[in-house]
Amino acid sequence: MRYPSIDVLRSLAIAMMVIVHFVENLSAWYGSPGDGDLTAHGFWRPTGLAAPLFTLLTGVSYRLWVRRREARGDSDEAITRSSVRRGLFLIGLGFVFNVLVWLPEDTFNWDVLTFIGAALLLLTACRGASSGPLLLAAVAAVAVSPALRELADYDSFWTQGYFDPGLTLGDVGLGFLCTGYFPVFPWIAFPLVGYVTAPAVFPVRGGSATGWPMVAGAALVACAGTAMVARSAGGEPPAWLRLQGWTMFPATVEYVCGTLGAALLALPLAHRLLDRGTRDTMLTRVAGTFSRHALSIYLLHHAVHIWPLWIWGAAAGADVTTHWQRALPAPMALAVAILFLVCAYPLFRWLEATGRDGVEGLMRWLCD
Amino acid sequence: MTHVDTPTTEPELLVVEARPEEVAGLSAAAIAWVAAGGPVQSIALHGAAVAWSPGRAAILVAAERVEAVRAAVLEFCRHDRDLRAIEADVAAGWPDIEADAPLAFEFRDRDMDRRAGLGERFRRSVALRARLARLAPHLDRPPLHPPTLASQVGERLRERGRLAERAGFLDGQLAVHERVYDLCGQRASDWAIARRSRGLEWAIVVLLAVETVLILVDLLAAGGT
Repeated sequence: MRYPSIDVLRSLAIAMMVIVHFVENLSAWYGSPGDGDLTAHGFWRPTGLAAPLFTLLTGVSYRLWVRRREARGDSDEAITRSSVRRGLFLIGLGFVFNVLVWLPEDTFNWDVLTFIGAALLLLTACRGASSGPLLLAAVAAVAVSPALRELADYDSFWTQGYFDPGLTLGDVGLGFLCTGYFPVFPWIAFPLVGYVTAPAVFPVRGGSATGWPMVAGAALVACAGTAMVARSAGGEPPAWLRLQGWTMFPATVEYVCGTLGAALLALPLAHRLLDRGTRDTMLTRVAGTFSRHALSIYLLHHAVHIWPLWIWGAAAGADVTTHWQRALPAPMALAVAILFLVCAYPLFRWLEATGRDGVEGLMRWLCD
Repeated sequence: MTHVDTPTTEPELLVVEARPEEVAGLSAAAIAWVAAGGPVQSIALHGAAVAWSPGRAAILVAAERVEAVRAAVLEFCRHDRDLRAIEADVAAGWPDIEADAPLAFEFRDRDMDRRAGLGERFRRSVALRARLARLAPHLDRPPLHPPTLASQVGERLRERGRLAERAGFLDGQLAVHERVYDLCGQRASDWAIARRSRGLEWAIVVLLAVETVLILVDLLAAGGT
């Protein structure tokens, strides 16, 4: 059973991700509002919710997928086997994607695909654990992350705002654990919380939803907001809290709490708004298509806007990355992103209508 | 004289009063009327005739004995209706029993969501057992001495309706229900206790894992430099 709320939220995350990547990769970013840099404006901030929302939904979807398989009568062993295969598939796909899109020197940049693959393996391993220890693990992952980054000397892995590790076992391992783009610490908190939240928001037939995700979400948003307001007012938080301001790279405690809280608020709200009335609307149809092909869209949108940059650079006889972040002005990059999303919908509808599968179909064929 | 009683909770009763010398059995029309309720059981005893089906009964009896026989027939009908209700509830529970029986042997994490349902079905079994226990003494009571026409009609109807035997069968069936749900409750309880202690073990594992990661990161960082 598909939940329109999950489809809509995942589509929202994908759309935000597409827009962020187009603007970041085709245009300059982290400038100032006066330079015409979209990313420097306050309205750009919600785009930081894309990856947290997507990874939280990974945990939610995994829990619902396991429930569906169990209801079908599949054995624990079969579910574990499929889960491990899916996790390994995503990790492998993540490496292939890094090599083909970001070129071989960025093989171990620990992007979101490798992270989701690793998260699936971890969720599979602790599928039998009860909610308490999983929430404890999520809290511990967030709490321990600043200390891990300090131990690993996080800043030494980042050059001009980009993750640039050495190709040694130590650097690669630290990238996976705490210094990469999407390291296990603290990002694992999102799928773990999603896994624990799923039964509270989407109870089994005959059960009733509980309100703790909304309360927890509001509390987390309030904590993050208080920390941000206190910082902007010139207050210095106690050192032991290790608050570092609102940044995604690294994912600070404030960022994780704020985005996790917002995602926890959004999930039950969307469930109440979208899952109880008419399910077949234009919104649910569009969101269903984007959600079903989220992985394909993630891969395709990178190929569509990154490969032309490399080809253009190589054709000019210069460094292949010459045009990266310089190709288009930001508003134009935003327009191209929207154009991509508009074109992606009929493309994937056509794939569905003709019975063709995207990468998701390949994953199901290999892993289930 | 003929009249039909149709109280809301009682069976429909057709009573035909006649003098003893006129009693020659129930008419075909009366039997057909009774047959609309289901298979017909007929008895004839000392000048009285009774035809009965679930929900309907016809009595042909001398006027001076109508009230006593009518009361006996109504009492039988009430007991039969109560027994049928329990039989129907027990029969409706068999699919649940088949679905729940595996849980009496093995309870797993995925079954935790079914605990409330199991509890509800256990309570239902106990309630059925209580209803049967209250009903049973009325179904298997000793014959009245000296016998009257009404008591003999009642006894004969109970024999034909096999009330005592049916109560015995129900007793056996409910024993199966109770056994299954008792075992399910035990397994679920054991599982919940094990789960709580496993939660503690997982919490320890999480803390140890965090400590391991801290050491690992420290080692990797030291190795890198």
